[in-house]
Amino acid sequence: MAEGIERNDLQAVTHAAKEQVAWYEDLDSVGGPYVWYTGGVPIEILYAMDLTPVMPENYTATAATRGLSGENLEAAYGMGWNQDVCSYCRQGFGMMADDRSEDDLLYGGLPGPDVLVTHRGTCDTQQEWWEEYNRQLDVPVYVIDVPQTGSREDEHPADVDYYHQQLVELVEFLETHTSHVADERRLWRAVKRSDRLSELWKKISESTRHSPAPLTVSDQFKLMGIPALFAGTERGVELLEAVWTEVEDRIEAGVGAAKTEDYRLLWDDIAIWYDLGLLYRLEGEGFVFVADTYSDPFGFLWESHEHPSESMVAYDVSDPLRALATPYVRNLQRQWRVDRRLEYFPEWIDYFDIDGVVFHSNRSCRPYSLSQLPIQRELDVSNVLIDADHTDPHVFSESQSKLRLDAMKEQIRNQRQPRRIRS
Amino acid sequence: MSRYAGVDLGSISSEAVIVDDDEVVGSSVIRTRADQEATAAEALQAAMPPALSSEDIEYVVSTGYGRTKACNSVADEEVTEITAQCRGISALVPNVDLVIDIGGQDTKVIRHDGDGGVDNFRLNEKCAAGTGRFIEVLVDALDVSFAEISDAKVDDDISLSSYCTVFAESEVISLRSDGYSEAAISSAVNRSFANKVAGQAKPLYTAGDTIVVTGGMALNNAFVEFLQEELETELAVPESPQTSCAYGTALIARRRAARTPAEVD
Repeated sequence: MAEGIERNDLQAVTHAAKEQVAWYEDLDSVGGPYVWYTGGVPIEILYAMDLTPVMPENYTATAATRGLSGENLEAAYGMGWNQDVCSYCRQGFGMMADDRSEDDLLYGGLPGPDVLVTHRGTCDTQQEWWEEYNRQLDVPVYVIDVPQTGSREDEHPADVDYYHQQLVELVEFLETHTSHVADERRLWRAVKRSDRLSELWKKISESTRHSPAPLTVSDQFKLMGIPALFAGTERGVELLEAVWTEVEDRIEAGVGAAKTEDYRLLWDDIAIWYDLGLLYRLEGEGFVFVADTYSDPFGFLWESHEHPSESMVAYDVSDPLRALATPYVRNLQRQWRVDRRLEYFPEWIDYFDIDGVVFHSNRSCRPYSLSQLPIQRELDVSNVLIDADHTDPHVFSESQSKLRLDAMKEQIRNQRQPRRIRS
Repeated sequence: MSRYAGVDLGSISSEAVIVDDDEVVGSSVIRTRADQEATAAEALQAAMPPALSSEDIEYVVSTGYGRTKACNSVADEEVTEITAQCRGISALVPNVDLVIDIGGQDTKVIRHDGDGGVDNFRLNEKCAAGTGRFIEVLVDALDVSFAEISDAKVDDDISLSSYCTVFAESEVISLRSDGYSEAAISSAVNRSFANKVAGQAKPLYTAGDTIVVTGGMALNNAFVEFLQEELETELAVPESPQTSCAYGTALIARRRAARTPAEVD
């Protein structure tokens, strides 16, 4: 059951969600040094150095799922933050407003950072947000510079060399500011666990090619915290192994997560974290989200190892930092590049047997959302665009979105017969 | 003779149309009240020909923002106004390619698939710009009637720079205090409105399309003329633009009433 909708929940997903909560609740007792990082930073390095990674983006997304993002955002507005700034970032400041107490904050708040690490591979906001933390909190910051590639075809060996050097300097920075030392064996263990975790993620993501889908996008959004928070750890691998085992059993038994799978949908862009119920409500009507472009990229480490670029020299595994460099350089911009998205979108429609696409035009994330119009123009399947924001509920109109989604459902029903697969 | 009804519960007005197997036998337009279930019942009752009562209606379908609530009082099922409007206009103008429906709180551009159904559609973004609410607010700011603004089209170089309804209201007040005439400002309002709606329509528009403009704002003649200039093509307006959506809903009711149990399942 979820949001009042009957479904076949996976026990391993429920357990994984609880583990994420437990991890946050234990953060204070785990102790530092605490490294605040943005999504896309190779946290394998942080774990290998026995540092405690903390991800404010994941925290603020979780706050939104609990209905708490509005208060953080109102506090940010009261501090003077403009409403056009990314809502992850605004929440990140709002949660630190002087008049907020532990009782106001999810899990009582986050332990403060000892160092800050971000990168330039995803968006400028992350970098500027961290630079502002550096200024306000007087905590050292390292910005990993990422070459702009995002595809195998555009790579050059110098890109990997450059990024590798960035990681070497990151390690030096961390050793200087935390007194923790990098150990090559521990780094290798972390890289290999991360490799296994991304292999599992890819298998789990692609399992939804089966009909009925053993899990849905709503489950994957719940699971995203595992690669985001636990990449490089045994904990992450164990949690996803359990999910994969349950998924395999379901595939064999022909059991889906949704009670009825009539039509299969694809979700584009970041989740609307304060209204995941939208996914469940559609699921309850037989419209099941089986794929999404937001959680998919966590499969990228495995994908890089399986399919090395032909333009690259033979894959260099002599050094754990170099082993991380190739996949991170290759895949960080994958979500944003218009040419890559135009390339893989039609492939996914076929691959996952998609009947319709929902584009979330995300006010806070223009890099991700800009390419939606070019993609819409190329699609042959029904699709609809809804205006929202990933964690700001003030700019979301449920009735407007419902009208668009209902119209898309009518279109799909008019175009094709329902599958009527029951689980 | 069987009869079927469509009820369109909008944000500002609600309409009902009753059809039999051949033609329209009754219609109504009333103001939407806070109680949507009661409004749906009132609209249906107001459309009822003298000899009929609700027991004579075999099937009722609702649409509009209040469509789900209407199912609690009078409707057997609901459909979106996108599907309903396309159905209604294509029955009136079978060769229509594009329907532009301007309602109280949203504007819909709908591409007809040639067979009564929807090929593609586009709605306005979150704000009130390019919706009937824009005109409502500015009519109040200008202290004119809807009929007066509907005739306001002058060749003038005033233009409103803001799409935002709130900012546009400020502009209108400033223009009034600067001495511009009501006619000139009203014309600028209509031009701005047409510009915004044209922008919404253009991505779905192909040169040579047959376009029908409907919804309450289609009664604003000046706006329709400005929109024709923006789109560089003639636009058709149905005889009763306010009830075309309810009409489409009634046609859907008629078709759905004829479904077999297997089709319903």
